[in-house]
Amino acid sequence: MTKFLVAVMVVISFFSGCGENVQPWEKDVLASDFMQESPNKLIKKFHDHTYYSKEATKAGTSISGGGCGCN
Amino acid sequence: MLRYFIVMCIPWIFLLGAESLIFDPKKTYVVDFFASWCSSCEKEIPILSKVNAQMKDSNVVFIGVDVDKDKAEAVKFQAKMEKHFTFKVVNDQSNAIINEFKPIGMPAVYVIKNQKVCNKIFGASADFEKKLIQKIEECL
Repeated sequence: MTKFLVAVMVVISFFSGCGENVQPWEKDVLASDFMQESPNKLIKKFHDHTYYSKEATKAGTSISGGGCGCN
Repeated sequence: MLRYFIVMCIPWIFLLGAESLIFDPKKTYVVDFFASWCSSCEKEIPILSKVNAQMKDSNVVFIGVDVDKDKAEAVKFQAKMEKHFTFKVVNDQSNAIINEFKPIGMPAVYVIKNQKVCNKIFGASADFEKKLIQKIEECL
């Protein structure tokens, strides 16, 4: 029983950080280059071009406004 | 008497904790929250500077609040944008000031009159200059 409770507590502790919302003014890390889908801007442009051409649609591939919640 | 004193102090209390932001009830304030990592904020700062110059003779005071947690980044960004900062800039590294306002997006511009929020603009906007002037004029 003790082992089970410890296991439950460990599992709960894994999810303890999931409930926190990142505020718009705390998105500095999210907005940084290394958090982008593709850190290389040229490769990203190439991928986006392929995506737009294939899907006949635009955007929806990343966080709008660079992750700062601007839009 | 004590209750009256406490109620009168409330608008001032949250502003005294951080690098001071004190609002004179006789003036209208435009408070812009920005950060070095927010590209839209960077675009809007020259516009704020322009509107500030236009309203130089009015009773409107512009204040910039840099919410960068990294002091080095804040210093670097402010040095880069130095010519546009024709208004006072306050550093809010602890985020104490912005936590009181809790904007839903960045950049966030608040128009404050009588120590109360009169108008606000969140996020990037194509016609920011027009919108800003309109929001300020509504509060004058």
